[in-house]
Amino acid sequence: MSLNPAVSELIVVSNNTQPLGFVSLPEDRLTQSVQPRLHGRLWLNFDYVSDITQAPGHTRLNVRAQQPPLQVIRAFQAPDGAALVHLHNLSGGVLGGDRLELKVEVGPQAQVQLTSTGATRLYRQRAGLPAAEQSTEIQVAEGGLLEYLPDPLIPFAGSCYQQTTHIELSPGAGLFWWETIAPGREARGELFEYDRLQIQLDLTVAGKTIALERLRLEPQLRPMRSVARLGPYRYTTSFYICRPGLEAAAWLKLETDLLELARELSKAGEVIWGVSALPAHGLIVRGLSQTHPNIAAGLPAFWQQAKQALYGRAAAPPRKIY
Amino acid sequence: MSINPSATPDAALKQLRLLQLADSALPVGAAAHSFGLEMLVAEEALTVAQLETFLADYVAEVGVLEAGFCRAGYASVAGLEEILDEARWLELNLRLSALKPARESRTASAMLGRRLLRLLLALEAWSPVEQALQSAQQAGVEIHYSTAFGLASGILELDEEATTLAYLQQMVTGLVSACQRLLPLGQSEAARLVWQLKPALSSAAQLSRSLDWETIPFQCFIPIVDVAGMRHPILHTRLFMS
Repeated sequence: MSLNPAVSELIVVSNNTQPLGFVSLPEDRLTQSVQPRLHGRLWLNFDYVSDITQAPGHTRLNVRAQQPPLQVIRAFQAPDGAALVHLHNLSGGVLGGDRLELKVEVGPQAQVQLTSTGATRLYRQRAGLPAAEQSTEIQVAEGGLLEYLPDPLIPFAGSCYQQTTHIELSPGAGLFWWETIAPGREARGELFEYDRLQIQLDLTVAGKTIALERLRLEPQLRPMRSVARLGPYRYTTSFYICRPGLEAAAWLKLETDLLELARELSKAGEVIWGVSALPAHGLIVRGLSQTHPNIAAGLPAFWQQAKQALYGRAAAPPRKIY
Repeated sequence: MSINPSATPDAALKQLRLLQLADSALPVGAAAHSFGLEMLVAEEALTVAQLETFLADYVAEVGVLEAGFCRAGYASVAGLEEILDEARWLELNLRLSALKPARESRTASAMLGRRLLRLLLALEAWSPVEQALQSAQQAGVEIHYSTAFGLASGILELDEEATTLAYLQQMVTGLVSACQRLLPLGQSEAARLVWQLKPALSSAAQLSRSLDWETIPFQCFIPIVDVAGMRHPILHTRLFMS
């Protein structure tokens, strides 16, 4: 298996050795010879393995395809049988012009935790190249559970990035999905100096849309610190909690319970949290903060309480940063 | 909006109907909702001095989005004799619901939309209105105010541009009215604010013209307002509904 990011070859490390749709395109190689534009791909499939001689079963990772700079090394098995997988980007971040594709399939009864190995750094746009793109396709089958818990996106000054995410949940599937956007490299005083950050999210249940996000953040055109946008805050996070099949009343009850936690964790001017039921099948927690530690502390608190309420067990933080 | 004295009786009737639809006195319950403003004020995130900037940016985000859906509602039917395109009508309302993360604001919009159509139905037995209400109820889909406003105007064959501008005008008037109850904002200053925002409304209407609700290239980023709407139910004393 080659891990050289300069080589745009299809890599299959699964037991299932069929490439299943990811093909190295000649134009990619041509492009790379003149411009270092990467087309990274990662296709992960998870299935639940149950052996009658072994109880309980566990979730198995099948890497259908991976092409640098996106990579996974292995899956760690959590005590509850879930598979914990760290998503790596060998470039250390998203370079201007990069095209990255992530596809994740969570099979029936499979339980998966995906996280990153650090913040996703969005580097400055390179002249003559299109905006960096990340496309993510997620499918969670009935009884499956996906917990997607990455570190923040950090858009560097001059970066231009477009992210498209489509999550499809089957009835009875579960989802905990958060995403945090930083203002930039805050430690060096770089705030909202990126050119464009475009985020598109479609969350559907059995084909029916329950949440849409359409963000096109261009701080030079529309100031982020406007009292109608971020106001005094710098970080924004969204946390989707879904389990199709629960009655609307159950979501309203959970909304009320998590709102109480939101009230406890909020301090106007420093950090504020809100919770709201989606039109169906789930709820959203949204937070705004002056600093990242408030977000990093708050998200797991909501996750713990929601996991306990929906699954009757504690959330297991991925081993790395907590 | 002025009434053109040389207009034909039919045109004058249309103008009068649009004026009434956009009138803040229309009994749909608009005054009961603050769309997150009450919490923003309670947490001292919004003051009178910030109002003009706030509203201009709000219109640039939410105004464009809602104006686009108002146009989509308008295009769902082409007159009183026409049959509503039910699939389109339901889908655009479903998508607008999905774009509204704060339940409070989403529910408020849905209450106003439903009441507007019921009011119209009480005034005249218009079959497309009945169809719009019934299909949404059967499908369990919320009817939003912007789409309902557009649909009503489409049924009445009112001018699309005038409809979009009137929708935006009543939206801003409603927000300013809410601010008058929440902040030390006098009537004259409120009127000045609404007056000053006319270019922003015009700009939003223009921008919404090129939007296609099916592919939704809309962008809307008002997280502080969304979070305020989500937090409104935990405010101990409230003037507005949650």
